[in-house]
Amino acid sequence: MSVGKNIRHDSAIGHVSGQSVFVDDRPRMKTEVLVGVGGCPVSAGTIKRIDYAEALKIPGVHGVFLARDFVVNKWGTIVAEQPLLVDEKIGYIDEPLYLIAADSDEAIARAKKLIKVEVEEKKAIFTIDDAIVADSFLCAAPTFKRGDVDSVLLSAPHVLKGEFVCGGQEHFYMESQATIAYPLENGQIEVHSSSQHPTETQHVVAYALGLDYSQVVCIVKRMGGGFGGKESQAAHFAAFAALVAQKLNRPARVILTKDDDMMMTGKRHPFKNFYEVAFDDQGKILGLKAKLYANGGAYVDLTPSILDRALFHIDGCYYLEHCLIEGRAVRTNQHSNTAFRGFGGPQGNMTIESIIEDIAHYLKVDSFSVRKINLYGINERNVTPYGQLVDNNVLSEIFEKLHRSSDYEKHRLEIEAFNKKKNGKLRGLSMTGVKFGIAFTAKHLNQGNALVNVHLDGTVQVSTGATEMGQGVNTKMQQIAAFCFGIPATNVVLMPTSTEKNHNTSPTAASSGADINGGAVLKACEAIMARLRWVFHHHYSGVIYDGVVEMPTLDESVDLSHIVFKDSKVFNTKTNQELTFKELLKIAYFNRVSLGGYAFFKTEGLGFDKKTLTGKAFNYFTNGAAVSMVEIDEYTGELKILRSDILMDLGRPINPGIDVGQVSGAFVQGYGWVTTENLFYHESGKLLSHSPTTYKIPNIQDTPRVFNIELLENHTNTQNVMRSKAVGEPPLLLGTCVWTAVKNAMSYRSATGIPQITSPATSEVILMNLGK
Amino acid sequence: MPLANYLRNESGLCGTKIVCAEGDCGACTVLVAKDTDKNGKLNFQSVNSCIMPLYLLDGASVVTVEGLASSTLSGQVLHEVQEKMVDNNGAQCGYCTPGFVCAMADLAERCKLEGKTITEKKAKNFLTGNLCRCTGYQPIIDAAVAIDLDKMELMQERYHDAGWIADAEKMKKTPVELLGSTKKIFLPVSLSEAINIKHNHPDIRVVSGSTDIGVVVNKGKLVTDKVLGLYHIEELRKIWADDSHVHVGAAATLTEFEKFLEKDIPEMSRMIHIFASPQIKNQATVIGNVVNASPIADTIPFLIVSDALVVLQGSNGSREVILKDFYLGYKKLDLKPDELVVKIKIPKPKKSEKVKLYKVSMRKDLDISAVTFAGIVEVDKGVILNARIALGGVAATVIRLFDIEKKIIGEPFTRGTLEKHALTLGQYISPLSDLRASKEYRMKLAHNFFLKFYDEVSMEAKS
Repeated sequence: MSVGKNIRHDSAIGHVSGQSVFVDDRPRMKTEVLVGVGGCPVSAGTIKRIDYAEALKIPGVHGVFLARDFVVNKWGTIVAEQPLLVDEKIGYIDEPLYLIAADSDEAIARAKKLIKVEVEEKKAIFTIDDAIVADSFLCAAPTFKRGDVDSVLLSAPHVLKGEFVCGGQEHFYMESQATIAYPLENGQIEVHSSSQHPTETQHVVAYALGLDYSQVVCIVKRMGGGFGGKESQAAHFAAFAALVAQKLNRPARVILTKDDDMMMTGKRHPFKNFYEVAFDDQGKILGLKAKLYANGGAYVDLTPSILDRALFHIDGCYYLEHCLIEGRAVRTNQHSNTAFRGFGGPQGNMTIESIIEDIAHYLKVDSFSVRKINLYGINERNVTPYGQLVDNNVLSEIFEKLHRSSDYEKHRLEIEAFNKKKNGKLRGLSMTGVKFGIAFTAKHLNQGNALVNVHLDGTVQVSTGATEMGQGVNTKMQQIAAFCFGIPATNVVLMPTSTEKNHNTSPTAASSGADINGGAVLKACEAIMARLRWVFHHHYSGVIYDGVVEMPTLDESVDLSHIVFKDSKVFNTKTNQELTFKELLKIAYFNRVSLGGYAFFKTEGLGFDKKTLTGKAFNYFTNGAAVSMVEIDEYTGELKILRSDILMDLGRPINPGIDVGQVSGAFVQGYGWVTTENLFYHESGKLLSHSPTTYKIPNIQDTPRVFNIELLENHTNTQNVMRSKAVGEPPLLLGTCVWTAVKNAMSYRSATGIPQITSPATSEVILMNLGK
Repeated sequence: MPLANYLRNESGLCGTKIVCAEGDCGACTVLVAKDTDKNGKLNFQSVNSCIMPLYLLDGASVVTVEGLASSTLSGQVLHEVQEKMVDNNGAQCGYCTPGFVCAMADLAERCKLEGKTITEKKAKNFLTGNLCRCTGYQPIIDAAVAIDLDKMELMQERYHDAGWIADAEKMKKTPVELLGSTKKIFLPVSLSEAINIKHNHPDIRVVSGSTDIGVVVNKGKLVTDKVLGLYHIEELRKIWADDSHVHVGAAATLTEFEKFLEKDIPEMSRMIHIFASPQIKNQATVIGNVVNASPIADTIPFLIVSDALVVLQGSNGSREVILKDFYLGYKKLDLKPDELVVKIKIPKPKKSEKVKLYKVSMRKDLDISAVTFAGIVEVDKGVILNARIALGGVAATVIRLFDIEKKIIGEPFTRGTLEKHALTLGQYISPLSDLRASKEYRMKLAHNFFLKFYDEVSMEAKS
């Protein structure tokens, strides 16, 4: 039985031996051209003229392409308003403006220097504050309102008012945006892209080039990381390659350098959130009024959904009896901010965790006690601000268990004593939680399909719309199919994701890859199994089906559940008759029974009413908590994570090993966001931290000195495939506990008792606010 | 052409990945042996192939990720490191994996040769040069400590070929001149030849490790038409010590320097330990860091407070310059067109001198500094006999605080004394704001380093 086991990642051997093929590893064809992307020189204004005559004279340059070369120069997942290449109005600095196709990188570099761009520059807007003043808004979220928060704020024993500010985050997928487009016959195009959303990539390419969707195939073998950065924003780079391929009738390769990728593509949304919170003497929250502002950047992209999710997660793990939550996104002259693991959830969740930390410091009590009394209840205080019941609630169990297993009380006492010594080091401790809603909030995306081909040697090929970016979705699909047919997982091969096999697919996003695609694989396998059981049943019926006598067609009303698939055999548990899986396949084939299956899956029971703003927005919640102990160097503000303990509820994991890897990776990415990952822009708007030299994701030395990850046993999640729970995004939100632990440490030296810092808490932010 | 591009585009070995093209992520890590160990076996070290130009590999052996697994008649047999990475889920997306595997193979090879076990700490130290965005590193650390060194075949054994090694040695003793129409590359084997070449081509680029030039070239900011590589010059690769000085040749790497100083100047050895990755340290030279003359170079503050001497040689003979005088301004050196820096002489600190070196960067390890500090103090009966202090990242060059040094001598060694002088720093330094730090933060760091210096020295004196 392969489900629930730690089988290795299906590409593990290829990865460690260097044989896994990524887009840029595809051999270069003789006629192929490389495509360089040139960006806008300023942040705002209009393009007056682009002179590339000199660039065309460089040997090896095959062409320069502009916005006008596209049949339709507009794209956008939610609103098609973003130009593929800037035609006139500049959205942000380094926004793609022109393409150079050439034989070599050197020729592209030389040609780039010869292209003259004339612009009429305008004053740009960069920050949320400036955008609010300039009334530059992208969208607003629906307001969540419950009770009467204004009266509560007037009557409550305590009220705190403040701002929570967090920065953006670069995805820093190791493989930058990459596409190769091959021109096929009859104007068709085959695109190999590093994309989380092959269907959208296919559609954008077709639309931009004036082709039918059916003339474009998008294939994704794997990505070198995605994290949301290749959900919407892989598409235009694919369109660039496709345009050149179409124009030159040559294969065309777009591989961004890390610097270009970081400057040209969107990031996690920075937020600035204003709040007023009312609470009692124990810290129980009586009411919360919050207004969230997200910096959407230059275009709509996925911002409305991201803003929604921030609002959906501002409750964190805590019951807000009276609340009024509003949100707006501003439009600025920055790269268009986009999906990033958590998708607004982290910015919402961190706001409430920051508020709770402040409440605890204000009341001079341990923040754990404040969190505990605010957790969602089992039988009461169990409905979210958007009216969804928090069922199968394990939050209290998680918080209590982690409190014990992490030795929280002991560490608290040690820290109290340590900080009194004043030896230049300062320690802090904090536990935060996550209750992440699983489902696309855009209901239509909660669908998937799968194609399963069973071959006569007993091996199986599975194709789905899920894309593999390291998260192990393919391995989980492999396990589900192997589990169904009772065969070793190694007999199941996951095929490249391709829009000709699986179409109208949703992006591999919202942590739902394994949920919706796994659901489809299960259904496809079950349909084949039903036919195979039927064949088995008739094989032993006494009738000889020799080609003259036709086997009756499947009657689904006949219960054949006693015929089971196990150990590469098929058994009748009543009669003990058995066939090998292979023998049965052969019998089925000769009786002209289909050994292929295609299935469609949709998540049942979702029903969030956008008019009343209540209902079941999510299929279920993935829960967890983490506690971190940190140490600050009081001379420099430098931060060390001494210990982190995590407890996650992932239901009944399909592959616990892969899931634990998701937890540790997401957690580290999460605390990177709130500590060292600082996006730094020049006053012109240019991103200066555009490479690993200047943008600091966590290094191996930054990992917690002690790092424990446990999974909670939970078999209740019947809403999802194999009773598993989605894992991709939720643990990222737990990185917050490092930031709240920093706040906690600073509270020991704070003059006001409630230290205020922004995120990321860089050494500078920490040192310059220490003592305040 | 960088080695990584050659491997990927010319040799069909696409396992080696290029991510940052600046030696900061380790995805392009491969093993390179430029010389042999005392047993005559290839001495493999991990390097960043994206900034390693091919011309610096004359006579070298390279093992890529593809060469770690061995192929047998029954198929591929993974290297022990690869095996453990598979078992521990050390790979997720797989893009950083070949680099990690190669760096880990270097770690394992070294540990096996030195008879050491792989601890978690050692693993982290060896893998600081590799970034991973998927795993959170824990599975990779688990893989590293799970390596069974007894089961592991050494790369220097598998790829041992006495004939090839002898040929390579011969090759390296032969000077190289590649004179193309646009590019000229010289790899002399003696110092006199090198000086001669520098004399004839005053505008030539001197390259030893290419960890800085390689980046600038990759980013299209520099074209190196003429290159003088020093690594075949045996005498420049040496580090040695006499009673008074440590001598560091122009082609000696930071790895060699770090190891050499462990005994004599442990504080400096520790600083090198955190400021760069093994890959960079295996390539980069000490003199490279000195002549690059960055105000935030991490070796310079120490060398300045040590009153290190730069030894220059030109066609008219040699001269010695005190390091602080070698820097004339931002990246401006007291170096004549026909001169080469051949070595640096570092006076050994006296036993009675306490040395402290600090650096602060956005991330502790493998990051460019915002502010650096070097302090040496000699205290007798509570009175400061002698003090030398330098700060980096607060002016156009690393600066010595001579005024403060003069005033502080004879004063009591107390926190109050240090704080009093720290408060005058504004007269001497003028930090700027940039992406690494604001000027206010830099000012505060400089101030706090004075206090930290006192606190640490006095604490050590007590214990």
